[in-house]
Amino acid sequence: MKWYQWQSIEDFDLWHNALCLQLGYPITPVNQSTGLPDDNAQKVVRYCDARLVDGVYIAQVEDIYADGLTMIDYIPALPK
Amino acid sequence: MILGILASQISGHLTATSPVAGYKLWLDGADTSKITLSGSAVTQWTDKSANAYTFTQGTSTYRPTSGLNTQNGKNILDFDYNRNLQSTAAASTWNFLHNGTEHTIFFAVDSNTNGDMNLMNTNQATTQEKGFYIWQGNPNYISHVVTNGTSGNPSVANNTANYSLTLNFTYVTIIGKPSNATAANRSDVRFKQGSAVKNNTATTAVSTANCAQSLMIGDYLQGAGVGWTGKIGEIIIYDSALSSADILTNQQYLAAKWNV
Repeated sequence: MKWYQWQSIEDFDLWHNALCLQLGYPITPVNQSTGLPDDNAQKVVRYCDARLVDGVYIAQVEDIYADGLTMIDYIPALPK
Repeated sequence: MILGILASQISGHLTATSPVAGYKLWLDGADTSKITLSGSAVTQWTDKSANAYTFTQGTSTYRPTSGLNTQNGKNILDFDYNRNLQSTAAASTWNFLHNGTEHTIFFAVDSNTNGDMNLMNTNQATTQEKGFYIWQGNPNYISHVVTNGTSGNPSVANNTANYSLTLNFTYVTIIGKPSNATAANRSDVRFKQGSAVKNNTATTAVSTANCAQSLMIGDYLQGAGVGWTGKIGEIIIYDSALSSADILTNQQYLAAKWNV
Protein backbone atom coordinates (compact mmCIF):
# COMPACT_ATOMS: atom_id res chain seq x y z
CA MET A 1 0.00 0.00 0.00
CA LYS A 2 1.06 3.55 -0.68
CA TRP A 3 -0.18 6.94 0.47
CA TYR A 4 -2.39 9.04 -1.79
CA GLN A 5 -3.96 12.45 -1.39
CA TRP A 6 -7.22 14.26 -2.08
CA GLN A 7 -7.81 17.99 -1.93
CA SER A 8 -11.09 17.72 -0.05
CA ILE A 9 -13.06 15.17 1.91
CA GLU A 10 -15.74 15.39 -0.78
CA ASP A 11 -13.19 14.29 -3.38
CA PHE A 12 -12.16 11.41 -1.16
CA ASP A 13 -15.76 10.36 -0.49
CA LEU A 14 -16.54 10.39 -4.21
CA TRP A 15 -13.62 8.06 -4.96
CA HIS A 16 -14.20 5.91 -1.87
CA ASN A 17 -17.94 5.46 -2.47
CA ALA A 18 -17.29 4.35 -6.04
CA LEU A 19 -14.64 1.87 -4.89
CA CYS A 20 -16.89 0.41 -2.18
CA LEU A 21 -19.59 -0.06 -4.80
CA GLN A 22 -17.08 -1.77 -7.10
CA LEU A 23 -15.93 -4.04 -4.28
CA GLY A 24 -19.47 -5.00 -3.38
CA TYR A 25 -19.45 -3.59 0.14
CA PRO A 26 -20.92 -4.38 2.58
CA ILE A 27 -19.39 -7.86 2.55
CA THR A 28 -20.62 -10.50 4.98
CA PRO A 29 -17.69 -12.35 6.55
CA VAL A 30 -17.41 -16.09 7.05
CA ASN A 31 -16.59 -18.01 10.18
CA GLN A 32 -12.95 -19.12 9.96
CA SER A 33 -13.74 -22.54 11.38
CA THR A 34 -16.82 -23.46 9.38
CA GLY A 35 -16.41 -21.31 6.29
CA LEU A 36 -20.06 -20.36 6.56
CA PRO A 37 -21.31 -16.76 6.29
CA ASP A 38 -22.00 -15.09 9.62
CA ASP A 39 -24.68 -12.46 9.19
CA ASN A 40 -24.30 -11.37 12.79
CA ALA A 41 -20.59 -10.57 12.58
CA GLN A 42 -19.04 -7.27 11.60
CA LYS A 43 -19.29 -6.72 7.85
CA VAL A 44 -16.65 -5.02 5.73
CA VAL A 45 -18.23 -1.63 5.20
CA ARG A 46 -15.37 0.68 4.22
CA TYR A 47 -12.17 0.32 2.23
CA CYS A 48 -10.09 2.98 3.99
CA ASP A 49 -10.33 6.19 5.96
CA ALA A 50 -8.85 9.55 5.07
CA ARG A 51 -6.89 11.68 7.48
CA LEU A 52 -6.28 15.43 7.22
CA VAL A 53 -2.54 16.15 7.18
CA ASP A 54 -1.00 19.47 6.13
CA GLY A 55 -4.19 20.62 4.47
CA VAL A 56 -4.84 17.56 2.33
CA TYR A 57 -6.66 14.32 2.96
CA ILE A 58 -4.47 11.25 2.76
CA ALA A 59 -5.13 7.53 2.88
CA GLN A 60 -3.33 4.30 2.13
CA VAL A 61 -4.50 2.41 -0.92
CA GLU A 62 -3.40 -0.85 -2.49
CA ASP A 63 -1.78 -0.47 -5.90
CA ILE A 64 -4.57 -2.32 -7.70
CA TYR A 65 -7.11 0.32 -6.64
CA ALA A 66 -4.91 3.37 -7.09
CA ASP A 67 -5.35 4.16 -10.78
CA GLY A 68 -5.75 7.88 -11.28
CA LEU A 69 -4.91 8.80 -7.70
CA THR A 70 -2.24 11.29 -6.72
CA MET A 71 0.52 9.60 -4.78
CA ILE A 72 2.40 11.51 -2.11
CA ASP A 73 6.14 11.07 -2.01
CA TYR A 74 6.62 11.24 1.74
CA ILE A 75 5.56 9.19 4.71
CA PRO A 76 3.35 11.43 6.81
CA ALA A 77 4.32 12.10 10.38
CA LEU A 78 2.26 9.94 12.63
CA PRO A 79 1.10 10.84 16.09
CA LYS A 80 2.62 9.07 19.08
CA MET B 1 -11.70 -24.70 37.91
CA ILE B 2 -11.31 -28.44 38.28
CA LEU B 3 -13.11 -28.90 34.99
CA GLY B 4 -10.43 -26.85 33.31
CA ILE B 5 -7.67 -29.18 34.35
CA LEU B 6 -6.43 -31.76 31.93
CA ALA B 7 -6.63 -35.21 33.41
CA SER B 8 -3.22 -36.13 32.22
CA GLN B 9 -0.01 -35.68 34.09
CA ILE B 10 3.00 -34.10 32.46
CA SER B 11 6.26 -34.17 34.35
CA GLY B 12 4.44 -34.31 37.61
CA HIS B 13 2.28 -31.22 36.87
CA LEU B 14 -1.33 -30.93 35.85
CA THR B 15 -1.58 -28.59 32.90
CA ALA B 16 -4.73 -26.55 32.53
CA THR B 17 -6.40 -26.63 29.12
CA SER B 18 -8.20 -23.35 29.72
CA PRO B 19 -7.54 -20.28 31.84
CA VAL B 20 -8.53 -20.09 35.49
CA ALA B 21 -12.23 -19.21 35.73
CA GLY B 22 -13.41 -15.66 36.32
CA TYR B 23 -11.87 -13.98 33.29
CA LYS B 24 -13.65 -10.92 31.97
CA LEU B 25 -12.12 -11.28 28.53
CA TRP B 26 -10.58 -14.24 26.71
CA LEU B 27 -9.49 -13.74 23.13
CA ASP B 28 -8.13 -17.03 21.79
CA GLY B 29 -6.56 -16.97 18.35
CA ALA B 30 -6.35 -20.75 18.32
CA ASP B 31 -10.13 -21.05 18.40
CA THR B 32 -11.03 -20.18 14.83
CA SER B 33 -14.73 -20.62 15.55
CA LYS B 34 -14.53 -17.22 17.26
CA ILE B 35 -13.02 -15.44 14.24
CA THR B 36 -14.80 -14.18 11.13
CA LEU B 37 -12.94 -13.36 7.96
CA SER B 38 -13.30 -11.70 4.63
CA GLY B 39 -10.60 -13.43 2.63
CA SER B 40 -7.88 -13.77 5.21
CA ALA B 41 -8.70 -10.48 6.92
CA VAL B 42 -10.40 -10.44 10.29
CA THR B 43 -13.63 -8.51 10.68
CA GLN B 44 -14.49 -9.83 14.13
CA TRP B 45 -12.81 -11.63 17.02
CA THR B 46 -15.24 -12.78 19.67
CA ASP B 47 -14.38 -13.11 23.33
CA LYS B 48 -14.80 -16.58 24.87
CA SER B 49 -15.88 -15.31 28.28
CA ALA B 50 -19.53 -15.28 29.26
CA ASN B 51 -19.54 -11.62 28.22
CA ALA B 52 -18.94 -12.56 24.57
CA TYR B 53 -17.49 -9.14 23.79
CA THR B 54 -16.90 -8.55 20.12
CA PHE B 55 -13.83 -6.83 18.70
CA THR B 56 -14.47 -5.64 15.18
CA GLN B 57 -12.96 -3.89 12.19
CA GLY B 58 -15.18 -2.86 9.33
CA THR B 59 -12.58 -0.94 7.32
CA SER B 60 -10.69 -3.10 4.87
CA THR B 61 -7.21 -1.64 5.17
CA TYR B 62 -7.22 -1.76 8.99
CA ARG B 63 -8.04 -5.45 9.40
CA PRO B 64 -5.49 -7.89 10.86
CA THR B 65 -5.16 -11.26 9.17
CA SER B 66 -5.76 -14.79 10.39
CA GLY B 67 -5.14 -18.25 9.06
CA LEU B 68 -1.80 -17.38 7.50
CA ASN B 69 0.59 -18.20 10.35
CA THR B 70 0.73 -20.44 13.38
CA GLN B 71 2.58 -20.83 16.65
CA ASN B 72 3.02 -24.39 17.88
CA GLY B 73 0.63 -25.43 15.14
CA LYS B 74 -2.10 -23.16 16.46
CA ASN B 75 -3.72 -20.28 14.63
CA ILE B 76 -2.64 -16.73 15.50
CA LEU B 77 -3.64 -13.27 14.26
CA ASP B 78 -1.11 -11.11 12.40
CA PHE B 79 -1.10 -7.38 13.00
CA ASP B 80 0.78 -4.87 10.90
CA TYR B 81 1.26 -1.35 12.31
CA ASN B 82 -2.14 0.08 11.37
CA ARG B 83 -4.35 -2.96 11.95
CA ASN B 84 -6.64 -3.09 14.91
CA LEU B 85 -9.79 -4.54 16.39
CA GLN B 86 -11.90 -2.53 18.82
CA SER B 87 -14.43 -3.62 21.37
CA THR B 88 -18.00 -2.74 20.49
CA ALA B 89 -18.86 -2.52 24.19
CA ALA B 90 -19.21 0.87 25.83
CA ALA B 91 -15.88 2.42 26.79
CA SER B 92 -16.95 2.30 30.44
CA THR B 93 -16.83 -1.50 30.24
CA TRP B 94 -13.06 -1.21 30.42
CA ASN B 95 -12.81 1.38 33.19
CA PHE B 96 -11.52 -1.30 35.55
CA LEU B 97 -8.21 -1.18 33.69
CA HIS B 98 -7.53 2.38 34.90
CA ASN B 99 -9.87 3.36 37.73
CA GLY B 100 -8.02 1.67 40.57
CA THR B 101 -9.64 -1.75 40.29
CA GLU B 102 -7.06 -4.49 40.64
CA HIS B 103 -6.70 -6.55 37.49
CA THR B 104 -4.56 -9.21 35.84
CA ILE B 105 -3.67 -9.39 32.16
CA PHE B 106 -2.06 -12.25 30.26
CA PHE B 107 -1.02 -12.07 26.63
CA ALA B 108 0.84 -14.40 24.27
CA VAL B 109 2.48 -12.48 21.43
CA ASP B 110 5.58 -11.64 19.51
CA SER B 111 6.63 -8.59 17.52
CA ASN B 112 8.34 -8.42 14.16
CA THR B 113 10.51 -5.46 14.98
CA ASN B 114 11.86 -3.60 17.99
CA GLY B 115 10.06 -0.34 17.24
CA ASP B 116 7.40 1.47 19.26
CA MET B 117 4.02 -0.17 19.01
CA ASN B 118 0.75 -0.43 20.88
CA LEU B 119 -0.66 -3.75 21.97
CA MET B 120 -3.85 -2.62 23.66
CA ASN B 121 -5.25 0.70 24.67
CA THR B 122 -8.19 2.55 26.18
CA ASN B 123 -6.75 6.07 26.36
CA GLN B 124 -5.77 6.81 22.76
CA ALA B 125 -2.17 6.88 24.03
CA THR B 126 -2.13 10.47 25.10
CA THR B 127 -1.30 11.38 28.65
CA GLN B 128 -4.07 13.98 28.54
CA GLU B 129 -6.66 11.23 28.31
CA LYS B 130 -7.92 8.72 30.84
CA GLY B 131 -7.33 5.03 30.41
CA PHE B 132 -4.55 2.54 30.10
CA TYR B 133 -2.22 1.07 27.54
CA ILE B 134 0.37 -1.65 27.02
CA TRP B 135 3.15 -0.63 24.69
CA GLN B 136 6.36 -2.10 23.30
CA GLY B 137 9.00 0.58 23.50
CA ASN B 138 12.11 0.87 21.39
CA PRO B 139 14.30 -1.08 21.58
CA ASN B 140 13.21 -3.79 23.97
CA TYR B 141 10.80 -3.12 26.76
CA ILE B 142 7.14 -3.28 27.69
CA SER B 143 5.27 -0.37 29.25
CA HIS B 144 2.18 -0.70 31.37
CA VAL B 145 0.70 2.76 31.74
CA VAL B 146 -2.40 4.11 33.45
CA THR B 147 -3.26 7.74 32.74
CA ASN B 148 -5.62 9.93 34.70
CA GLY B 149 -6.11 12.83 32.32
CA THR B 150 -3.35 14.99 33.74
CA SER B 151 -0.63 15.52 31.18
CA GLY B 152 2.70 14.11 32.24
CA ASN B 153 1.40 12.62 35.48
CA PRO B 154 0.36 9.02 34.92
CA SER B 155 -0.87 6.91 37.81
CA VAL B 156 1.23 4.01 36.59
CA ALA B 157 4.20 3.90 34.23
CA ASN B 158 6.05 0.62 34.56
CA ASN B 159 8.74 0.30 31.92
CA THR B 160 10.55 -3.01 31.87
CA ALA B 161 14.03 -3.17 30.44
CA ASN B 162 15.97 -5.39 28.11
CA TYR B 163 13.41 -8.00 27.26
CA SER B 164 12.81 -8.49 23.59
CA LEU B 165 9.57 -9.80 22.13
CA THR B 166 10.99 -9.38 18.65
CA LEU B 167 10.64 -12.69 16.83
CA ASN B 168 10.33 -14.21 20.28
CA PHE B 169 6.81 -15.49 20.81
CA THR B 170 6.21 -15.49 24.53
CA TYR B 171 3.65 -14.81 27.21
CA VAL B 172 3.54 -11.92 29.62
CA THR B 173 1.63 -11.39 32.85
CA ILE B 174 0.71 -7.96 34.19
CA ILE B 175 -0.81 -7.49 37.62
CA GLY B 176 -2.24 -3.99 37.97
CA LYS B 177 -3.06 -2.35 41.27
CA PRO B 178 -3.20 1.30 40.17
CA SER B 179 -4.30 2.69 43.54
CA ASN B 180 -1.82 0.80 45.67
CA ALA B 181 -0.19 3.06 48.25
CA THR B 182 3.22 1.68 47.34
CA ALA B 183 4.17 2.88 43.87
CA ALA B 184 6.17 -0.21 42.98
CA ASN B 185 3.18 -2.42 43.71
CA ARG B 186 0.95 -0.63 41.22
CA SER B 187 2.27 -2.64 38.30
CA ASP B 188 3.98 -6.02 38.17
CA VAL B 189 5.13 -7.32 34.77
CA ARG B 190 6.45 -10.85 34.35
CA PHE B 191 7.90 -12.41 31.22
CA LYS B 192 7.04 -16.10 31.10
CA GLN B 193 7.42 -17.32 34.68
CA GLY B 194 10.20 -14.88 35.46
CA SER B 195 10.51 -12.52 38.37
CA ALA B 196 8.31 -9.48 38.82
CA VAL B 197 9.41 -6.23 37.17
CA LYS B 198 8.09 -3.41 39.35
CA ASN B 199 9.64 -0.19 38.08
CA ASN B 200 6.72 2.16 38.59
CA THR B 201 7.45 5.27 40.62
CA ALA B 202 4.31 7.23 39.76
CA THR B 203 2.03 8.03 42.66
CA THR B 204 -0.66 10.20 41.05
CA ALA B 205 -4.21 9.26 41.97
CA VAL B 206 -6.26 7.41 39.38
CA SER B 207 -9.25 8.85 37.59
CA THR B 208 -12.62 7.17 37.99
CA ALA B 209 -14.03 8.87 34.90
CA ASN B 210 -14.65 6.88 31.74
CA CYS B 211 -11.70 5.91 29.58
CA ALA B 212 -11.23 7.76 26.31
CA GLN B 213 -12.25 4.86 24.11
CA SER B 214 -13.36 1.25 24.25
CA LEU B 215 -10.57 -1.30 24.38
CA MET B 216 -8.60 -1.42 21.14
CA ILE B 217 -6.32 -4.34 20.31
CA GLY B 218 -3.36 -3.68 18.01
CA ASP B 219 -3.25 0.12 17.90
CA TYR B 220 -4.19 3.15 19.94
CA LEU B 221 -6.34 5.02 17.45
CA GLN B 222 -7.91 4.09 14.15
CA GLY B 223 -5.30 4.77 11.49
CA ALA B 224 -2.68 5.96 13.96
CA GLY B 225 -0.11 3.68 12.40
CA VAL B 226 1.84 2.93 15.58
CA GLY B 227 0.18 -0.38 16.11
CA TRP B 228 1.35 -3.85 16.95
CA THR B 229 3.45 -5.47 14.25
CA GLY B 230 3.58 -9.16 14.94
CA LYS B 231 1.55 -12.09 16.15
CA ILE B 232 -1.17 -12.06 18.78
CA GLY B 233 -2.15 -15.50 19.96
CA GLU B 234 -4.14 -14.91 23.10
CA ILE B 235 -5.26 -12.24 25.56
CA ILE B 236 -6.88 -12.99 28.92
CA ILE B 237 -8.02 -10.27 31.32
CA TYR B 238 -9.42 -10.46 34.85
CA ASP B 239 -10.90 -7.61 36.86
CA SER B 240 -9.10 -8.82 39.97
CA ALA B 241 -5.56 -9.56 41.06
CA LEU B 242 -5.20 -13.31 40.78
CA SER B 243 -3.49 -15.35 43.48
CA SER B 244 0.04 -16.55 42.89
CA ALA B 245 -1.27 -20.07 42.37
CA ASP B 246 -3.81 -18.97 39.74
CA ILE B 247 -1.20 -16.86 37.97
CA LEU B 248 1.10 -19.86 37.78
CA THR B 249 -1.73 -22.05 36.48
CA ASN B 250 -2.40 -19.61 33.65
CA GLN B 251 1.28 -19.22 32.88
CA GLN B 252 1.66 -22.98 32.61
CA TYR B 253 -1.43 -23.13 30.45
CA LEU B 254 0.03 -20.55 28.05
CA ALA B 255 3.48 -22.13 28.08
CA ALA B 256 2.10 -25.54 27.16
CA LYS B 257 -0.39 -24.28 24.61
CA TRP B 258 2.01 -22.08 22.68
CA ASN B 259 5.13 -24.15 23.41
CA VAL B 260 7.16 -21.30 24.84
